[in-house]
Amino acid sequence: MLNQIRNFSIIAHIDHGKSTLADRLLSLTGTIEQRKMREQVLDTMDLERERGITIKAQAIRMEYKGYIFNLIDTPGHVDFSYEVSRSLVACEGAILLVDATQGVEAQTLANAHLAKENNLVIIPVINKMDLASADPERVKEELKNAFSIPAQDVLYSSAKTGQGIEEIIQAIIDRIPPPKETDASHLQALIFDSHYDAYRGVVARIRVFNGEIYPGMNMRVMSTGKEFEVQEVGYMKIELVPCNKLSAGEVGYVIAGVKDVRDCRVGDTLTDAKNPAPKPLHVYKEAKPMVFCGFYPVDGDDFEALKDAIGKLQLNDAALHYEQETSAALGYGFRCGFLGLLHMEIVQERIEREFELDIIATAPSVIYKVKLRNGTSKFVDNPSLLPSAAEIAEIEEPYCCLTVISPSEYLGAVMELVKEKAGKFISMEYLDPTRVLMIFELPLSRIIVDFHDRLKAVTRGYASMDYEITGYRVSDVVRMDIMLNYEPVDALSSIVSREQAQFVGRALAAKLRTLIPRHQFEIPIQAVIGAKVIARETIAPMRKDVLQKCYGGDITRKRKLLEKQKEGKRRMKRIGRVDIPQEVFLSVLKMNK
Amino acid sequence: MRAIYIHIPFCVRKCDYCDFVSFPGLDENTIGRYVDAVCEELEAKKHFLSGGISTVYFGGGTPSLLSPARLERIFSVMRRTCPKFPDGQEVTLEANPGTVDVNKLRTFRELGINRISLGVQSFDNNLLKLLGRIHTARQALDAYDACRRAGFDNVSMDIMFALPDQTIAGWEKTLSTAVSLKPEHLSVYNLQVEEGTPMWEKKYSPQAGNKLAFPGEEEDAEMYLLAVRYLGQRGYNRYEISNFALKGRECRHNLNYWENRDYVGLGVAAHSCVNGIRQSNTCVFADYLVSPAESVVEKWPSTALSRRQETLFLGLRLSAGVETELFAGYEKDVRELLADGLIEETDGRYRLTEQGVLLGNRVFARFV
Repeated sequence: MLNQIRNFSIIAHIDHGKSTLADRLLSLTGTIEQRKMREQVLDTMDLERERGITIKAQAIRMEYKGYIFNLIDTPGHVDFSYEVSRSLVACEGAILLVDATQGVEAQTLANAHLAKENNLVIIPVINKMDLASADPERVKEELKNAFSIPAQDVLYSSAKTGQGIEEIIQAIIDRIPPPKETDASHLQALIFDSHYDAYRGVVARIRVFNGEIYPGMNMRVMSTGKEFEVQEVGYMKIELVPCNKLSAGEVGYVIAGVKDVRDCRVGDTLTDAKNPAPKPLHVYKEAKPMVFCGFYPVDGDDFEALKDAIGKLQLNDAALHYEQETSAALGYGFRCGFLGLLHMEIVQERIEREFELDIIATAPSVIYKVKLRNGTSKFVDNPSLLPSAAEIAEIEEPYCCLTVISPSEYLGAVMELVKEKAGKFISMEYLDPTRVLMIFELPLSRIIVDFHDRLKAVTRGYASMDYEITGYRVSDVVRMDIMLNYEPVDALSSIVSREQAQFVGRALAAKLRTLIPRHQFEIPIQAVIGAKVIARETIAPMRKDVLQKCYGGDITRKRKLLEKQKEGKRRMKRIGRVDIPQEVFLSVLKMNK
Repeated sequence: MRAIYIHIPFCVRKCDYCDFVSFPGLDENTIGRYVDAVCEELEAKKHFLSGGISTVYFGGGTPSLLSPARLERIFSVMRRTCPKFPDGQEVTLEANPGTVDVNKLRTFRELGINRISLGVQSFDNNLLKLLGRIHTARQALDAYDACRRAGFDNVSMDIMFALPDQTIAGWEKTLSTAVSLKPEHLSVYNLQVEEGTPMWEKKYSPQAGNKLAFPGEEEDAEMYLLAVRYLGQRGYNRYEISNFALKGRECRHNLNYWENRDYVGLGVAAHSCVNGIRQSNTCVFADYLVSPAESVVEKWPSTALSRRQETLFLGLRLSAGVETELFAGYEKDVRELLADGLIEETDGRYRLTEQGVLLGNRVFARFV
């Protein structure tokens, strides 16, 4: 049985064809009938479909010619490297899928290295061979330079036309080793994903490494010691298919009446309560949130609803952290921690879509380490809570190591961008004569908001990037506050480098002038550091907005217009006498060039 | 008692700023069929008028294009519906100065029309041309004179400001000419540049260049305040945001809208409000001709709250304002509006302040 199982994932850059390949595998193995095939079955969340990315790890079981394939899909975005790591350790192999027209990208590089570190067998596949611009020889050279992959190991495919899919399946069978059981006497199962179902409670997706798990058994979650009676186990096909038991090497799900996902944390090990394993499978380093921002309800009455919404999202998102905070400007809300900006945007969008709440997200911030003159030190993840300059001895901020892969013609533009973001060049290496891999070091705060967009812009979309936090460094930064109509708006405070403060302050004030609608009175906007005003703009007052004509036929039209105006205002936050649109709060760090 | 609005969707040519439902250059035969259709609709809706007719308003388009015979056809149906009509009710007809002479006006008056609303817009030929009006300033003066000679003692004029290339001094001249004619009523509008009109093209299309200077919000406000002041000093009371009248000469038909009472609209694209339910007829001319009696294409839901909201945002257009009791449930909004100086309370009523009039939409939006 064990010998017939192959557990694998697909490592690919966005748009290199991962979902299409997965769809091909599903249909060739008869897991899903062609006519029932929704495009890209694995990306089930609407948001994922819209953004063309996979956010949560998914898994699916296929049966083919006596073999069982478990495809564990992994997230593709740089923010979710944590989730990638969890998924990869559940596999024995990985398909490294590279676009024949694009070549190796930075994210692929990072994930493939992660796979190698975990001793996964890698099957290199050059995809999109149907395209006229396919250049497999160049990509092969890149694979060789980047991963030491011998040319003869490389497979060719077109997930779109179906070319090469059977060869891939054969390679999965031939090259990926079957799972091994090292200790049949003790159950050890790894949770690689866990989500909350309103009807069934927590559904944990697991990979069984040793022993077996079956209904009626008392399972123990090893990090907490909590025990639950297993109610159901089964396989993930297109739907959940219950079975009698899951044995070593198998991938499936377990339902055990767990009400809180925090009791079934991803990365944790399940064992048999009666006969527990001596130790867990892995000691996971839990992913630490690196980007923080405040979430506030637009309508203060929605605070409880927001609390409920974030709590529910956290049920399925171990990486999401939150705690209650208060802003003088925005009232009661939550300080939330995320893996990165995409993660933050996804959570924000889900709160707005799935829970229909209007929220304000304040500018994202990294976490600063502040040493005070009194000898103590503290972490600050909210710019408005940075102590006054007089109290501070030194501030440190997180730095990261950034990998960029780009066509060499954009090398200058990439260098320029990194320089603008206060980055330092470390090294570079040509993957092939036309593509170059560059390593930089720069403050995390400078890449969390728009770096990726900017990189794409200056390289016409050709460059890719990945980053890794390397540690804290002393930094010369100051807190810049924004005053609207002479009142400070704490939610608009930001931490900026001292030398850039004036430039950023001016740009931000100018931006706010365009974003904040005119009011019936003049609104001065000031950027200040301490008591010093470094930039000022003025929003001219609205003089006249009245619709002069209103007769019988106009009444319904006019009402609609007024409703629209009111709706626009409802989505704004009133601070003092000033109504502020939500996008204002995100504009702050975007200015932080 | 209910007010009647009759839409006459014909004109000689569309003005460059007009986005009303009106069809230029239709032949007499089609106009005749339309009038028949209006009569049929009136017949079908006569139960709405069982309590009597309070006012009648012929709007357009250019109602003064109708021949007296066709108008008489409509009147005869109204008389059948309401035997005592006309019996002192206000009966207004909109007239374009380029389409009337004293004889025609005299016939209108004999039919029972007792108020003329004259679309003058400006006394500056350059501006009239720019607006795409079919008449000159001279014709406007003559038409006004003809109204008086035909015996009309209740004449209103429409005049416009915030026109391209119009100056404050030019606007003041328009006002002084209008006042010198001593109309009983003045409707004063700024130019609204609506999408899809030639004026929109003139203002926004890249080909237009910057040939015309469209006044900004600041000048718009200044011209409006000038009108309020100028007309106020000469006995024209601003009883609604855009409407000024000598004492007792307020337009009763239009007051009916702002006081949120019922009205029955007839004709293509006409709106009605019956028992508080707002509804509109089709805008498609051909559809209307086929089934005028069943031409309602849209009805808006009405609730006690939506009715009261309408009472508030329509009533606040009037300088008389609205009784404070009707604002129950809007205490927070009222407090903020008072604090912002947009409304004020006098004699148990809330009304717009001068700034509140200028920023009326900010106030009205609170009550939808």
